[in-house]
Amino acid sequence: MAESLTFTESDVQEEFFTRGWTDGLPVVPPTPERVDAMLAFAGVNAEEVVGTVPERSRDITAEKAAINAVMAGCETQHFPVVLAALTAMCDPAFGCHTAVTSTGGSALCVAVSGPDLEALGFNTTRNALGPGYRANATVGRTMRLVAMNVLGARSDKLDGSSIGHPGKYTMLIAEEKPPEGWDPLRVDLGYDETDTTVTVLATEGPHQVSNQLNATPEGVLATFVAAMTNPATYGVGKGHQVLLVLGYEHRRILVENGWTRQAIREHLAEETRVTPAYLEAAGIVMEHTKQNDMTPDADGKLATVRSPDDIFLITAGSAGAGWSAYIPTWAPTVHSVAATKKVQPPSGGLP
Amino acid sequence: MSTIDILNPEYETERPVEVHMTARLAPVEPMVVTVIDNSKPHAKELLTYIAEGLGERFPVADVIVHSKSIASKPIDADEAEMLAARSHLVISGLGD
Repeated sequence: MAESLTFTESDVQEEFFTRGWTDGLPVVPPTPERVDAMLAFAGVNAEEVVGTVPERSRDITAEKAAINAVMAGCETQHFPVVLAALTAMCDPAFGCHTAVTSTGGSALCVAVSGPDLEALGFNTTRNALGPGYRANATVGRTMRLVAMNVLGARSDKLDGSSIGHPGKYTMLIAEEKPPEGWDPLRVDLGYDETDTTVTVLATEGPHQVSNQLNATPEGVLATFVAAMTNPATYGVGKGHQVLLVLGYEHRRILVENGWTRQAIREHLAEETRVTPAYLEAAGIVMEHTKQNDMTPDADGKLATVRSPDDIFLITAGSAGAGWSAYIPTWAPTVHSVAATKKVQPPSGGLP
Repeated sequence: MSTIDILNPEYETERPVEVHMTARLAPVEPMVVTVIDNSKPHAKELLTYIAEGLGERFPVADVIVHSKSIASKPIDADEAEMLAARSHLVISGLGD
């Protein structure tokens, strides 16, 4: 059981700052009552292990997850989403140890897909990646607080980020129901339409994609290809994964012109193949290491994504002029791949 | 003055067991040095340079470079055992 401490109420925020227990913002004090309420809602015991990061010999217990969720400002109804996201983060394929250590500085980006996210309080439309929504902000923030407090991912310990980015405070995207004819992300990933899932990716910050005047699907996709082949993004030509947030106008243009999600993924996977000369013109040096051999394929090109399945499509955002977002993972798939878990119902226990 | 009870959010361990440094050994002749290249650019060159520098001070007979497949995963137990069996000194480090 977690150590219990008694602070003077007026000093509690300063105590948390002084002990290095926050992300630099104030927190909700994790009283035993608040923590117990989190655990009770999810139907988990304090000592149950949510996940393990073996390279650090550290388990994340349900109690520590709940303490950090309270601190982040989570409502109890969102704790099952937190538990699913933390379980995904501890999937060995996700490579949590590296993701929260690397100089590249990645966010623990959570993509939520479910049939009734609005009822759960998630914002899926205006400001989909922006501020103002408690569920989006606090579930994402919990991920970082757990990484900092339980896994030691802090600047004075094991977080080696050279620059970092604001998505490291919190980064969550909740899926708006896709337009008629398209499946949601969770169905793409093999889950049922009635399931709620979380997919965790270690990512750079979001890159906004603007195309406001071209109403053709080819034009919209060409702009995505341009965003996805920026040589300054580490994974370009090295085989990483990407999350594409398809905004209102862009997804309508695509679906109304008969583009399926699979066709979009296949098109983008092919069109984002780049030549070494293209990267070299931007000053990029070809790597020929054991982990990262940038020898081109038979067509003289390098894959930016090795498979269409490495492109995750999610619909979100409100009507505007024509905005979407491109969110690349911070490193090639040899280091980390996205992990998905199903969210349990209230009292449903661990995923 | 009112007080509030809170729970510690950090990872908590049992009291750490006191650990002592392994006894230093005299150099074995001829010494075989293995360097573990983490497979990032320049790691092999840097670590080999260090190992070869040891040769100027100690009786190093051979320097073996062992390259990991990727930087982000540790070597496994079998690999570690194999390296220990064939080396008198193993140097690992980060190239980045």
